[in-house]
Amino acid sequence: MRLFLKNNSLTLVFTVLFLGSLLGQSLAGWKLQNEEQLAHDSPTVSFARYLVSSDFGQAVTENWQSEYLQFTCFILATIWLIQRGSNESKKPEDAGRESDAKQLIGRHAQQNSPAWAKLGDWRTALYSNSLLIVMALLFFGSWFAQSVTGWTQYNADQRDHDESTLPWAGYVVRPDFWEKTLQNWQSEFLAVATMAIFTVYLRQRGSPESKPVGAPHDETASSG
Amino acid sequence: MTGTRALFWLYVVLPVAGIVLYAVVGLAHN
Repeated sequence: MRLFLKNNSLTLVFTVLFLGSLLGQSLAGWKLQNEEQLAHDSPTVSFARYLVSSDFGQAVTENWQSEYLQFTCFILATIWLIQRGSNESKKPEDAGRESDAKQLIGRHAQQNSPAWAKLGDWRTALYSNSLLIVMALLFFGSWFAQSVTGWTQYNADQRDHDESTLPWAGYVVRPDFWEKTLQNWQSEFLAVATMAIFTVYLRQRGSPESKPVGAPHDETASSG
Repeated sequence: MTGTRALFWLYVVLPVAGIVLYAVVGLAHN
C-alpha cells in the first residue's frame, strides 16, 4: 500500500486537490444559487438537486473542455512546432512523427513494449495516436456538455423574462456560448505559451518540468 | 501496476461519466 501511494503520489495528490476543489465549487455554487433564488422569491434547491443542475454542470464542463483542449493542442503542436531552448519542446532536428525505429514500433518494438506497438498494423497506428485521440474526445465531449447545459440555462433565463427560447443550434452561435468558451481558451493558451518560453530561461531544481539548473539557455528538450 | 491501471481507468471513466451526466441533464431540463 505504501509503495502504491509512493509510486502514484503525483496522480493521487492531484486527485485529492481536484475532488476537494470540485466539492468547494459545488458548495459555493449551491449557496450562490440559493441566494439568487431567495432574491427572486423563488424556492431554494437541495444540494443533491444542485449537483445535477445545468448551472453546476455548465460551470464544471466549461472548465473541463478548455483543459482537455489545452492538452490536445499541446500534444498535437509539439509534434511539429519547436521552441528552441525549451524543456517543453523537442530538438529542432526531431520535429515530425519520427521513424518507426525511434518510436519502437512494429519490428523495432522491444520485448516489453505494449502489445499494440508490436503489431505493425492498424492497431499500432491507432495506439500511436491514442493520447491525442482520447484527449480530443474528452475535449469535444465536455464542450458539447457545456453547450447543452449552457443552452438550458439560457432558455430558462429567457422564459423567466418572457422572451423567446432558442434551439441548440441557435444557442451555439450566440455570444453567451462563445464568451463562456473563449474566456477559458485564452487562459489555457496563455499558460501553454508561458510554460514553453519560461523554461528557456527559468529553472526549478529537481522538477522534470524544468531543464537542469546549469543547462545552457539554448539547450532544447532536456529535463532535470 | 494493477493500481496504476485502475487510476488510469478512473481518469477515463470519471470525465466520461461527468460528460454523459451533464449532457443528459442539459437535454432533459430544456
